[in-house]
Amino acid sequence: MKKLSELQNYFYEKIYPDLKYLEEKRLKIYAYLKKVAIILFIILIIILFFLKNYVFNSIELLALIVIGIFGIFLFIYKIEVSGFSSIYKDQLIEKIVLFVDDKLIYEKDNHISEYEYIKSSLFPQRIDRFSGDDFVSGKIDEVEIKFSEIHSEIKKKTNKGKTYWHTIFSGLMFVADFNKNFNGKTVVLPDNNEKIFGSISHFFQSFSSHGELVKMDNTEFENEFTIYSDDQIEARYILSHSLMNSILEYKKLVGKNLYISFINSKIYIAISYKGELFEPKIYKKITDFKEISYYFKVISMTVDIVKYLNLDRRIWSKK
Amino acid sequence: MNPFLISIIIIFAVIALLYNFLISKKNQVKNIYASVDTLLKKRFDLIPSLVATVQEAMKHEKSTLEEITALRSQAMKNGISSDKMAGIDSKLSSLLGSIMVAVEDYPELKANDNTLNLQHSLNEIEEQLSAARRAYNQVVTDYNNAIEMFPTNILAGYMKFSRKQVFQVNKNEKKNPNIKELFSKR
Repeated sequence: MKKLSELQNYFYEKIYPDLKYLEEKRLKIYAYLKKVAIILFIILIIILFFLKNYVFNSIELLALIVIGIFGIFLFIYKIEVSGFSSIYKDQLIEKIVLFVDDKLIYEKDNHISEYEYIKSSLFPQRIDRFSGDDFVSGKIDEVEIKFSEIHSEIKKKTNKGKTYWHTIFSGLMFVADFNKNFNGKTVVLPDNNEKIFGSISHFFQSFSSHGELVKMDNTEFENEFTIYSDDQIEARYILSHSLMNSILEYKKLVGKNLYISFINSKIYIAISYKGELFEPKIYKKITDFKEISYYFKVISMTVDIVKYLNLDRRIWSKK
Repeated sequence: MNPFLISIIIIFAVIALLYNFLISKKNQVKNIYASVDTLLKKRFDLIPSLVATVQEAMKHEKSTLEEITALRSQAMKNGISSDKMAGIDSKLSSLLGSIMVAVEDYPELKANDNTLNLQHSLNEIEEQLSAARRAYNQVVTDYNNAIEMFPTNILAGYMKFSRKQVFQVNKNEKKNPNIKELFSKR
């Protein structure tokens, strides 16, 4: 596990020189976008002036023009930023991943497949849109791991009939080989009810498509999570006291909602994060070490799941 | 319909629900116990090959190995009570644990692939047994709660259901002890 201080040295030696070129590019794009915004605003004023008779009679026309101009700006913004983001990921994010472990592979446009997402059984809702990026894979201490950002959404309708996109899950999904052999399915979900309602919530939680409710013999774990499985004994075989404690420690460390499942000798962990994780901020200086150290923190905390959950411990019959 | 008749039907329905609830708790205990039993047998089957592999080399552990073999014969007898079985199981866990630790002192055994495989298998069984015991304790607790809490306790009294014992969890088990340290030394 690399330390933040080592990152600082690595940053100034290997990353900073290339970042300066990127920073110049960013400033150019930022200046360009500001110009575009001003020009479009002037165009908007001119249009409104010439159409003032029509426009003040019809709110819809006014709204249409404003939204249209704004839409053009957004379109240009997206193109510029995604182009920049791509170079940024190649130059910076990949270097950070390799710093965490040089045997890892980073693919900025790849992601955990929809098939694996569904296989994890963590989010059984129907998906209407699935996307992701920043795929990292490799072997850590003989354990195969892979993870990426994913974003799953469903289309919903408001009462008035307008459709909108609702996020089912946004964050990182991590998949690795688990160190024990098992055949069934065990799911560990964050539990909000139990903290408030205690054992009464068990009654309500027992009706679920995830399987049978499993009541664990670790109070803190029971309070944080709700566990379902298709085999009461297998669930406890997987979730030993030692693993439960490790999961609790990891949850405290990462400070986010964890969704964990154990399926066919693999472990799936979904860590909830809001928004895009590895995108540059066009309005902020990218040579800012704070951003870099945040990326490092997220990547190393995910890669180190192997160590935190002792996935490299092979003392049972699984090779 | 006659309100008297309706209340009779409702009371009958409630009693049926409570009865089924109690039966399901009782059967859950039986179910899990059967799995515990299967795992115990699996462990017993492992013991002869374990003893055979190590007894040549482990001269100092002769008495422990003999005790293990004796306990196994005792357990294989038919008609043994579940309490006695629990006692044997607990003793075996600690004896087998100490043998595994003792292997550290015999380099020729440590290098042996056979021993390594046996250790892994034994470790796996012990973990599965531990899981089975924990599951058993949970269903027994649910069962005991059902027969002691209102309103099912009334019905349970009529059905002559009695409290069941949980497996005493060995303090060592909770920390998954020596075996962990054992392998971290490799």
